[in-house]
Amino acid sequence: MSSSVLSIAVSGLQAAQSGLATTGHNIANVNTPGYSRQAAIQEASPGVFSGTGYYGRGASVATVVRHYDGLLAAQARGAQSAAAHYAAAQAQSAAVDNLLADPAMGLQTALAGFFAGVNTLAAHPGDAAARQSMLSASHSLVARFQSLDAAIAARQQGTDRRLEATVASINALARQVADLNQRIGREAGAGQPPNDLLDRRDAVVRELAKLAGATTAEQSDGALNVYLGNGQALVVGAVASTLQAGADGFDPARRVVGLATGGGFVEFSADTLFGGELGGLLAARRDVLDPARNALGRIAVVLADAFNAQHRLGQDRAGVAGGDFFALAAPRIASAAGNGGTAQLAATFADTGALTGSDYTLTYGAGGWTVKRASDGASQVFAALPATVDGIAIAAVAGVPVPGDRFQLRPTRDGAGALAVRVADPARIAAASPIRTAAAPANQGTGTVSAGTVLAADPDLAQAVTLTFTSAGTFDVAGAGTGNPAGLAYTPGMTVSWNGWEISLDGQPAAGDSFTIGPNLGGTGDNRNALALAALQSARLVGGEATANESYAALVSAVGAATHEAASAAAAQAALAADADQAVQRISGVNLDEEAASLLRFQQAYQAAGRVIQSATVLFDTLLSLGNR
Amino acid sequence: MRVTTSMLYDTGMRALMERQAEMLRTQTQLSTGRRVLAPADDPVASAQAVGVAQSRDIAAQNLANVEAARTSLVAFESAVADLQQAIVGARDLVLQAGNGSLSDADRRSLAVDLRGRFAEVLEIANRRDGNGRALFAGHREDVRPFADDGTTVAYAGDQGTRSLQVSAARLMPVGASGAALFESIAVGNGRFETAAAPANAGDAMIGTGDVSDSAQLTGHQYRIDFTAGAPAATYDVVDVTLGVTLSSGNPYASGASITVDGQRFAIRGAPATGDSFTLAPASRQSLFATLRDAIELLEAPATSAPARGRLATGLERGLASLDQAAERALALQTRFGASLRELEDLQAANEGIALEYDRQLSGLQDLDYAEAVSRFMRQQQALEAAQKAFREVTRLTLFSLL
Repeated sequence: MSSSVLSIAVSGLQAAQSGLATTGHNIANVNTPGYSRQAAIQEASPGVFSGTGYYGRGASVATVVRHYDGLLAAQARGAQSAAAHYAAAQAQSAAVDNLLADPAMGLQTALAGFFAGVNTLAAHPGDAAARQSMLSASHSLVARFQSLDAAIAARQQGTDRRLEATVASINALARQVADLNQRIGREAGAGQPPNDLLDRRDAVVRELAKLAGATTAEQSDGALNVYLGNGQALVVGAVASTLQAGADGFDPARRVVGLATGGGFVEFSADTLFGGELGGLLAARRDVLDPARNALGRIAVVLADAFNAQHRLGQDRAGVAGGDFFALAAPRIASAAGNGGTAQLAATFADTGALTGSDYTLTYGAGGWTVKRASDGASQVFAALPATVDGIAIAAVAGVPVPGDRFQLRPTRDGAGALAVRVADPARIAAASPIRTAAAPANQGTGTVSAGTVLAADPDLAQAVTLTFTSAGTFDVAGAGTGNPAGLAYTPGMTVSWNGWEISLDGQPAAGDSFTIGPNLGGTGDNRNALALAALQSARLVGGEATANESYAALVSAVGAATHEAASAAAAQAALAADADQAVQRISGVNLDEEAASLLRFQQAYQAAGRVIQSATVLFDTLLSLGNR
Repeated sequence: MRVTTSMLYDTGMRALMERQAEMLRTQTQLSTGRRVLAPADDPVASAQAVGVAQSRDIAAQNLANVEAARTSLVAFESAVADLQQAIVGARDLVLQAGNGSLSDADRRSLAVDLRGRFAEVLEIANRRDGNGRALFAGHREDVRPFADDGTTVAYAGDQGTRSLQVSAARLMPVGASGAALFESIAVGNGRFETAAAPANAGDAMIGTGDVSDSAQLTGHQYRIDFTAGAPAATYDVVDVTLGVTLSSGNPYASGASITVDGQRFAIRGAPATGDSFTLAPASRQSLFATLRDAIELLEAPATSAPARGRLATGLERGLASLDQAAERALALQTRFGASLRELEDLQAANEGIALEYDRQLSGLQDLDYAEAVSRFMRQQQALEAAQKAFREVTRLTLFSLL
């Protein structure tokens, strides 16, 4: 019996030692991320039968378990993934957001300054200083467009670099998961759970989830498979696939993310890859950066085009017809890298007022060209080019397409960045109108002629035209381009239009009275075109419903709302992640007080087992002393 | 609930971070005075602020335009006031010349004075603004608008008038062309002009007359032909345009008013047989031509009977023409005055609008300091409490008792 008491005592010592070792391990790992507290599961060794019953044989340690709840861990991982997604999206969009409303960086002050310059020109059209200040104001406006565009472009490039870095990190983590899968499979074969390896793998998967929205599935052999997007496998057992940040098929400088699979490349869109920093970066690029840059470009293109159109209707200080004031970039159209055909397309602005700010894809197929708008997915089909879509004329300039060829049209991407002031000489600013009207000095009646407006740059615009009243109610027209009609009926207040101009006649002219419309020679003090240019500040140029400034306000509002939304979601997800973490911690976390208590408990058990050994020794000594008597 | 050591630290740390982030935000608001630090804080207010800021800038721009319009109008107003004085001066001289007791020499000295007036008017017509641009050249402000070659004063400007956008809906003309002020002024009474035939032998003169009935005006030319006789001369009235004699053998009385197709006038003095007078729709000439006519009239000797008749006719016609010019100037002066008054109103309105937009902008963006300061105090207390709680909770551990 005494030998069994001794062995029972030894088993107690060993069990207490296991408990102390586990407690010590817990205490040592109190600050290890992802560590789940462990416990040595002690059990009573089955008893030995004897006539008087079963006698226990002490304690043994069955296994060391970790306190872990896979469901809670998955919840925490998901919440952290979403929090990382929104935090990344918010950081990207907040950078643009801060830029737009800053009085020193935003467009509003530059627009106001520009039109103040135009108004100054209208007040002093002949003044070289006023002309110079208007030109300077236009340079400031262009510089502001360019700096805003450059700031967004820098964010886009920053997104590309971060995508590359994130993809590299994800690949490293995926390889670690695969390695750990292999080791866990090997070690689990020994029959006991490799707790610390499992913890480590959980921690790696958690890091992975912060970088990309991943789903996991545990296999019967203990391996954990990791999937991205719509179930594309990143890790299967001991094999990790490679995520790639590859070149965009339309724009080699731009990065897209996809999985390399057997020589192919499965691209992830922002839709399919929700979650993690990767998802946040892609979503912010799609929802904020790209649209903001396009919207800014749209404002630049629409304003510059309308300004150019009015400027061309004017006349400069030397009496020469105004040309384009701004130089603007043509819509960007690019063919996909893998196109089989040789077709080359070109795009031009047909009606800038109809621009949407969206990008488009063109696909050639059996039915012709399908043009799909990216913003809402609406498609139009054209049997052949040229075609006009949303104010952009698309034409085939060379080559032949084959079905399946794709092109990308980005009408306003370069609008802000490539904007430039074309007029270099202040005297070339067309502040004056190219026509002037006059009543003949000898007129007897009370008839008056308005100063006239120019509607179009007609080749005969500056031809001298004379309206001669043959009676109080009729007049003849003479002059190149008019066809010299005679006997036209007169009503007071009527408008008369030829050769691209329009004038109104009023009052009561007498027979023999005449009015002339002719070139505005030496009209250096004329500000009529400058007034028309200044009026563009309040003109609803963008889509016929918004001024340039209102359009900018809409951009500020859209980016602000997106940032606000991302920030709220990031805060909510961070709170959710914190809650989920706490839930995991409640199960798996180490409590030092608890461990201190365990320490005492196992210490005491150890001491007690020691006492049992002592007792067994006493028993043994008693037996030995019997023989001595 | 099971609590773990890391939960104590994490929860405490997170609370501290959150309190500090809140305080940083309030501190930034307090130091910038802005409630909305980025559009994301309040996207709607931020977009509105962009729109309101443009409206305010436009109001400020209109104020600047009002000031430019005022500067321009004041320059024109003062030039036209000077012109009015010059016309009054010229009119006085012409009136003096009508005194029958004056000798040729007296009139020649008046003519010298009148030449002075002529030069004065020419100076006004060629006046330039502070930037050296001709006031009365229309749009052709770089040219010298009125050039005198000794016989005629030619206008080199055009009929343009500059306008400025002085409020959202008001495009205001801020001047007048030289053509509007100096050119094409109707001669005589403004409706029809009277003249004595150059070959008249008698000393009769014809007045400028007036319109007795507009409805009867035909726009035709007429001639009054005299035949001397006793006891009175008689005259025939001929419609030259139609080539018909309207009436003949009418008895003539000096100074009696004669009415022909709505045109009423008087002939004074003693006409000789074959003397004739003409009526025609008023022609138009520049103020310079009117002044030069008067100067030439005063410089010509008036010793013979026909010359005295021509002088009397010419002086009356000159006076009437100067009155037409004065009326033209007065009409413009009235317009400038009305425009200047309108600018006063617009300035007050634009200032009010700008102020209102400033108030709106402030409401959209600016911080309520009282609220922010009290919020800051609350946040400070919360942070202190969180710090104290963190210190107390983390100090308690069983190990310290073992």
